[in-house]
Amino acid sequence: MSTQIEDRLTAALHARAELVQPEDLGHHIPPQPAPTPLWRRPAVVALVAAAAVVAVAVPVVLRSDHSGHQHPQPVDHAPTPIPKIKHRLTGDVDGDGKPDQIRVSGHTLTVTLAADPSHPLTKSDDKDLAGLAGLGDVGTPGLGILTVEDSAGKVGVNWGIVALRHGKLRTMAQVGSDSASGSLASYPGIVFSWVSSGGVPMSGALDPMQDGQRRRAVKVTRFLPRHGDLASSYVGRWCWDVVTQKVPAPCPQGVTDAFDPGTHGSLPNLARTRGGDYGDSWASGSTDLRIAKARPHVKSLFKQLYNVVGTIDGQQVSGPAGYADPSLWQSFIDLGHGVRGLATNDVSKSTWNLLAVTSNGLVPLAADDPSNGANGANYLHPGTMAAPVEGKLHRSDTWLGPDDQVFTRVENGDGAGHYRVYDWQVSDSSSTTLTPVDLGEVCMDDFQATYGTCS
Amino acid sequence: MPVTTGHSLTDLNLGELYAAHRLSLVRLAVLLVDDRASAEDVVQDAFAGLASSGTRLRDPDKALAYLRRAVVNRARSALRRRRTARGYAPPRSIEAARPDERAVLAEEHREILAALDRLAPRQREVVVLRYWSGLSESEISETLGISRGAVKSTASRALDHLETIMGGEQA
Repeated sequence: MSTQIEDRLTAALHARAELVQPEDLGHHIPPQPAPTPLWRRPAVVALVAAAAVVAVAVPVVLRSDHSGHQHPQPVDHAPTPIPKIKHRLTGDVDGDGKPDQIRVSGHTLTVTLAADPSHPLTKSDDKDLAGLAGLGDVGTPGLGILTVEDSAGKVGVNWGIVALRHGKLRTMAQVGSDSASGSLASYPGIVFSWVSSGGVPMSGALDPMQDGQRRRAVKVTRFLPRHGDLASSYVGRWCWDVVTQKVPAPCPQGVTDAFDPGTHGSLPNLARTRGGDYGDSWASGSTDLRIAKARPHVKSLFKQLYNVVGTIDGQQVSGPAGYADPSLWQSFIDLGHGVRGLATNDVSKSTWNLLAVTSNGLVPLAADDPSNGANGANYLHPGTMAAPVEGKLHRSDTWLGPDDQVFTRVENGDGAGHYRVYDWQVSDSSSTTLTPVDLGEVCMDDFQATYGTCS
Repeated sequence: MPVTTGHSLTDLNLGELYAAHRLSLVRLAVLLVDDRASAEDVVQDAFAGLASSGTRLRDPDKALAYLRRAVVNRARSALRRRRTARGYAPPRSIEAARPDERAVLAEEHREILAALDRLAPRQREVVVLRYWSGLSESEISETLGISRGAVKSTASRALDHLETIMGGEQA
């Protein structure tokens, strides 16, 4: 019955959970409890009654309380500032030169025009609104209203744009004009949006590798009116000192604030932009391969071996692809010494199996462990994993470079973006062993897509 | 758990809750969302929710149950949002694989965890709460907001499904 699987399940869940140790956790601090509303605080009531000066201070504090959604965030030594959100704003929405009143409550945005205060305009959203990010130039006679969804419990939120058109509040769309452009949104540490002093809605994509740093490089997009909507346009890389500057600004001459990985030196092409796909089969030119169940057929998915079978350059080939319905990477890889290889994704082990294409057919390759441990194959996990180095887990990534080479990088603990990088090669053309060729310490910035020998 | 009954949360006992339960809640979240960074965010969010609801949560003894429920709900939301958030992530070369610490586990554990990935979210939640958190049916029922009968039937179906996925190994 289920007893055996229950035991296995319990053991596996505990083993997985035990991989998270106290020292692995980020240095967050506990969020602070929400302050008691001021009107409930007897001391405040007494102070208001006692001193006229408090009448000046209280509205300031109240506004801070009401600007609300002080959703406690993880705190680092220089966290990304969060855009200020308000529940009420004043500005010219209808373009008559008079200040109109704007407020949000729950799902509803309400605008009370100075020209017609007895007939407020409303617009309801299907999502709760956290508040108002500001007013901006959206091409209408008056100012557009930038709203922010309720972010409680979410990673981030998108902004909305509402403008007065033909007497009604209408939502405008953000239209992307190029692939480099971002969108108006607030994703802490990832996307920061704001309204420029000139009233232009702006958005900046942040480099995750610089998370927590004071000076950050930001890929900036601005939004300008076009055909009744807002079109995004990539501006370029700006600089942001998150301690002294409220929002990003163009970089001073000669300054980038970007992570500097240094020169390429003699490094191979380590770019991580290679595209491609997996499949059950792959046909290209004189190559025609597919994944097929090997004999014997067994009931357990995890005990069923699959093979890569087919032809390469007219030669019949067959080799083990792995267990649990593996898939085939649809191109050859370069294993050095003129040897081509195939990669299959073995779901049962979460790793690649690499096969060398030889005159004798497909030969499975065993991987040496770059850290002299016993788990070399673990490094061939396609994507990101945690690799054991001298008893500690380090972040590790394996990828295919533009020249079809397989690389693995392992964070070496020298700081953000510092890696030990290995190029997987067979030791000679007849070898059945993959050796990680140590390329030394390499600095890489995925966000800027740059790498080098560390400056 | 050193929390005084009958008082609303204060800085002190929220800090104690955080110190006492953050690790176990991150581990629970890891079993639901797979990667540690997301799990930490989920738990931080859950504590943030507790902090901001301090004036409403009158019974601090129920704080842990609240946190557990919040972690499960936020983990489910995190999985749904993962696709959206990926749109903002730097380009990946081969696939947008999640950080996977499971690769260092023994093969027998990896197999059953891979099978666990194939369960429906609710089945996975029930299994994790039962076999890792060690909760009773009534505690799982409270955490997930479903009936005890539903907990029982979901757990039973989850085990059947796991056995099917794992094939003839139990025979």
